[in-house]
Amino acid sequence: MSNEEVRRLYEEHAPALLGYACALLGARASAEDVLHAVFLALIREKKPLADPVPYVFKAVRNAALNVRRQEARLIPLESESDWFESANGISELALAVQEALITLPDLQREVVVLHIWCGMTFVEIATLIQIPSDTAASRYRYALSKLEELLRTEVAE
Amino acid sequence: MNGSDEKKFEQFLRQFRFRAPGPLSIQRETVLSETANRKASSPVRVVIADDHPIFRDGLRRLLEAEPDLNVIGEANDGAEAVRLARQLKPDVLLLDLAMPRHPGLEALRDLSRGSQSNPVRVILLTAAAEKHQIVEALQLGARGVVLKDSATQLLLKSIHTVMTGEYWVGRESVGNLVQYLRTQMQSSKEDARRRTFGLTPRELEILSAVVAGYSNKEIAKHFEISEDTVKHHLSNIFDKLGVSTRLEVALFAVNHSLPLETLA
Repeated sequence: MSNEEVRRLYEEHAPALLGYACALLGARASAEDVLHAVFLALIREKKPLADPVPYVFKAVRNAALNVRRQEARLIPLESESDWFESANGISELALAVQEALITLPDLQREVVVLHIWCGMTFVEIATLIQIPSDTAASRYRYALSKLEELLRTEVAE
Repeated sequence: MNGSDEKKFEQFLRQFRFRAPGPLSIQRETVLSETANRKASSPVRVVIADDHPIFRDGLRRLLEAEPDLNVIGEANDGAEAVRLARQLKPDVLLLDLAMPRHPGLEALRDLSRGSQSNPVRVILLTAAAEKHQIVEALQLGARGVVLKDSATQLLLKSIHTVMTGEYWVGRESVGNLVQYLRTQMQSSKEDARRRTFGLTPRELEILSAVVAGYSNKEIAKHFEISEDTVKHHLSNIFDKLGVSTRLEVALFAVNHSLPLETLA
């Protein structure tokens, strides 16, 4: 990939990729480090990629899981800084969504973030994290149901 | 949830958008930026100061493999590093903390004492992060601290980060630093001045808890307030002190001897 292609890829997908890395790591600073490391490697390696978007999602996942394994004791899954932009200036609501997401089990949080915020289908999610698509769909339903329960008050307001 | 509720809830979630990350650290300076492409003839000029020739040589080869970096000098002690920094005026000085005769901190002190401000951005390289030395180095004007066992990519990222005017402190060092600052806060309590930068007594209590390492959740529990209220106080504290992270607020509190309290 040329540098220009990498730059475009970053500009188009960085927020979703960062959100995904946040979902995997919990800490935004670590997530951003992982994201940058993946893109710096792309620049350095300059290898041609037929389908770069799934590739970078996979690369971010692998890198984030490595960090999570290495720093399991060092990175508590808590919100150090905001993941979301405030919707209509309501930062409390965005924080409530973030905190609700954090309470989900890792596997459910990953799927819900990929489907809702990264725009992936269950088939694409299944390919990325190597599970059957039915499993992806059922994890999603469980996650959504828990989130709905946690955010019931906020949604009602 | 039935299908209709599910759709509505998905819509509710989708209104939130993930905050975009900052630009890639090298974006403004090198290959990713068109401006930088035009500036390809002026790569970042680096001087390496380390007393171990093999390490120095390895580092030089590593940096020279990067198209946007150019190693213009090597020093084997702090005195030579200061001389080269003044003579060659590099963009970045990679300075080993522990060198015999004239160690890194001495060199930093010399550079900070210069009659004219030296524009070189100093990144300290250290095998083991001594907390008090890191704090002193930052106070003396160092822009970054990188552990020698860091991944190569992190060193490169630190160079590009300091080139954009930001600071870089390796993650492990930050952990140690926060711990050190917490200790400092306890020992400097008696010297605390009355200057509060407009913080209310409640905000000072919250700040004390942050510096003591409490999470928002723990602070909320301790003061029997909601987490949202804690965040609201923190937001006011950050605004009043002009900082944006917990580390910055801790550094600010130490540097300005804010009158913090020990939490019961």
